[in-house]
Amino acid sequence: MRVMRVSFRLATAALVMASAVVAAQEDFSYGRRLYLDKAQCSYCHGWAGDGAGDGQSNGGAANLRQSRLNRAQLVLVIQCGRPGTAMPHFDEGAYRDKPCYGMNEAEVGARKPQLPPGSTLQPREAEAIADYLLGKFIGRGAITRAECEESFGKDARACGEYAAKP
Amino acid sequence: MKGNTTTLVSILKTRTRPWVTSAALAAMFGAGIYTAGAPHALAADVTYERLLNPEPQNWLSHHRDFTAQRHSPLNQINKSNAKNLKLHFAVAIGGTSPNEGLQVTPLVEDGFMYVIDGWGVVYKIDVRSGNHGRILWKMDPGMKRYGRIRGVALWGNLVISPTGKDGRIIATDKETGKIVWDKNLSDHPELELSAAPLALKDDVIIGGSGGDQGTRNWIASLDPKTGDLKWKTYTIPAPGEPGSETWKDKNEAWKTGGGAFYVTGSYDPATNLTIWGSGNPVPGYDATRRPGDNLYTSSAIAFDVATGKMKWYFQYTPNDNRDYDETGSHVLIDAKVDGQDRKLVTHAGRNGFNYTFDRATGQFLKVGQYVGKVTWTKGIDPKTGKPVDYDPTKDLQLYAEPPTALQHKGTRQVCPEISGGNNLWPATYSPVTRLFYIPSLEGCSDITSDQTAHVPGKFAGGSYTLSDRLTSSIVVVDPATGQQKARKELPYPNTAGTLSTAGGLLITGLTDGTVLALDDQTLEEAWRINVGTGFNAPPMTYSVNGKQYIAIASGLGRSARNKLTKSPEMRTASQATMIFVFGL
Repeated sequence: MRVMRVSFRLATAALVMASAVVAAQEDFSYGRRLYLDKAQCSYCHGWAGDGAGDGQSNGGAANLRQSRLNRAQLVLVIQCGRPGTAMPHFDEGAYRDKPCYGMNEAEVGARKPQLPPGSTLQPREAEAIADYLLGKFIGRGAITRAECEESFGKDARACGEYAAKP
Repeated sequence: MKGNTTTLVSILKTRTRPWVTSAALAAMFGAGIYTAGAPHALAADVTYERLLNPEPQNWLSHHRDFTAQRHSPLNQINKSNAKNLKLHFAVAIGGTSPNEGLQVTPLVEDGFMYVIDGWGVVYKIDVRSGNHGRILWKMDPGMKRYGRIRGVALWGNLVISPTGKDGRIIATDKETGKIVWDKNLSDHPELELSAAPLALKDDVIIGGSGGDQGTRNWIASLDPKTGDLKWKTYTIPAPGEPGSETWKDKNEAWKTGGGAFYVTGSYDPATNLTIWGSGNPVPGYDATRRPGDNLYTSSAIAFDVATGKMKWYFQYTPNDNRDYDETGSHVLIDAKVDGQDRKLVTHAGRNGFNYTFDRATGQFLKVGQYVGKVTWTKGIDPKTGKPVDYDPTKDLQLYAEPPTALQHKGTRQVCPEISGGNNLWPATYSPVTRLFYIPSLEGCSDITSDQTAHVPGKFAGGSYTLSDRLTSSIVVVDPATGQQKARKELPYPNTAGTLSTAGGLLITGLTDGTVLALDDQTLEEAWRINVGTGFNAPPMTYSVNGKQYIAIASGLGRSARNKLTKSPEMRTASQATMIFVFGL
């Protein structure tokens, strides 16, 4: 009986953990899909948000894992871009229809960020990406092997270079 | 019909599979099966002789033949009737994930087309009917990360294909679509195999890229029968090897120095040399990390196919720090230079200049400027081929740029744009007009260097933004003199490349989805269509059942879409990955 009870407890614990993991994945799957596919944030910021983008990307993307921005600030940067850098404004009407960082189109001038090469984003999409960043990247430090394997599979060659624990 | 005769003869001569005897073939032809049944089961092996002299109707290798001229002898579609060109059919490719693009040059052998998408999936498409394309099989290698892949090679009964960042080369039976061999060449997580393999007699040459991510790139030869490695030569010499003295840093920068090969080279049978252009030194925007000329980056390099040893090289931009790699095609031509018959190789440089060399020795002969605006140098010395502001006594080359070019967080504007000039969108040479047609990207970039960006994942040494709207031009050059003969300005960037034909046409595509046919002498427009999705892949032409067609793959990859960010009217454009086929 004792053995069974332990097993039951373990099983319950495993179930609770498993559902927590599932819930976490469900929470972020929308933002993750936007990050990787629709908005292609990963092209410049890298699959793990460390700013290591594609070799042909503009380069110089922020390392989100070192970022201290809060949710509202993340949404703002996604929607307004960063003036004078390659970070685009994903809100199509940014600066034109509503000011960003207190500047309208005339005031931001030549430093106005570009439009994204792919899709612009609706406010709830910018928020979903911000939630994904907060859940997975912001303030997380070095990439772990587990994160790599979650993205590329357990046999991925590249994952060996990441430490098993942060 | 000559093509069919050639095909039958080569089947009879080369077919070795036991189940197809000459008698069986004769019986099948007698029964009309060859033309009406399932003839793809009977396609001839692609021999070295056929790769050397492809039948007029076929396009059997990446640049059509070993010269890399991308010129077709077909002339049914010509200056007088090009106005009647229309879309005959289209085939959707890929489409399994968002934001896909295509860079492939389709190959066509006797009515069967071979293409590859960014997931490394190879497609065999029956295009014989002329009114539709039917996919006969797909070979899916299950690549982990989407990539840019520029084409496949045909050799024997195999289709040989790269797999981007999976680092594998795969040979597929072209009749069945089954994998024959699958070799992993990866020696670095960021190694990328994007160039179409170059199949020769007993070698298939593979270019390694991904240098911008801090890899040390190489070129290799595989045995096409087995995929076994025959030789592998690194672009960047190891300490002690010739050229290593041009890496004067104490950072072991040679280990992460780039020098990619991402566009297929040419091959000269007379000398058994294969000529490839090498990529830029890495970190790309920070020369201070790697003082010295950084051999053999940003160079034309001739490799002996028998050994893999370098026979000659010419470095275009020593100690580059603006991403001016020179991996674009190196085109073999025969022409009179200063009254003498010469065997030449000519190249449209990413750095804005076109160069001509002796292809046996690498002797520099001619240079010209084809890009509209060049700011990084005051010009190229017509005697040496080196930038006039190159100072061999200096470890860091500033050329004509401001001092900010070598300063941490320093920003400067550079023209041509960091992508060039010319790049993976190939130029074409017409042996009819004896002219070289360069699709030239026109514009500038603002580069900001970051002298800390030389760690895994962040190896660019800085960042860039487009200075302004990008456009393009078709520039016509006489490669025997280096002189520009004509140019035509076009409103959108060209990341597709060019095709010339014996019909006197120059075909190209633009990032706004326009396909253009121009008169190869006047550059007047003979025909145009806009298909609503941009081009990042070169046009090609083939003929089947006596009818000539022009094919081009569509869909802009992310880098190509980036070139439209200063074209606000294109902000709502979407992309579709298709093969479009045009004809009369």
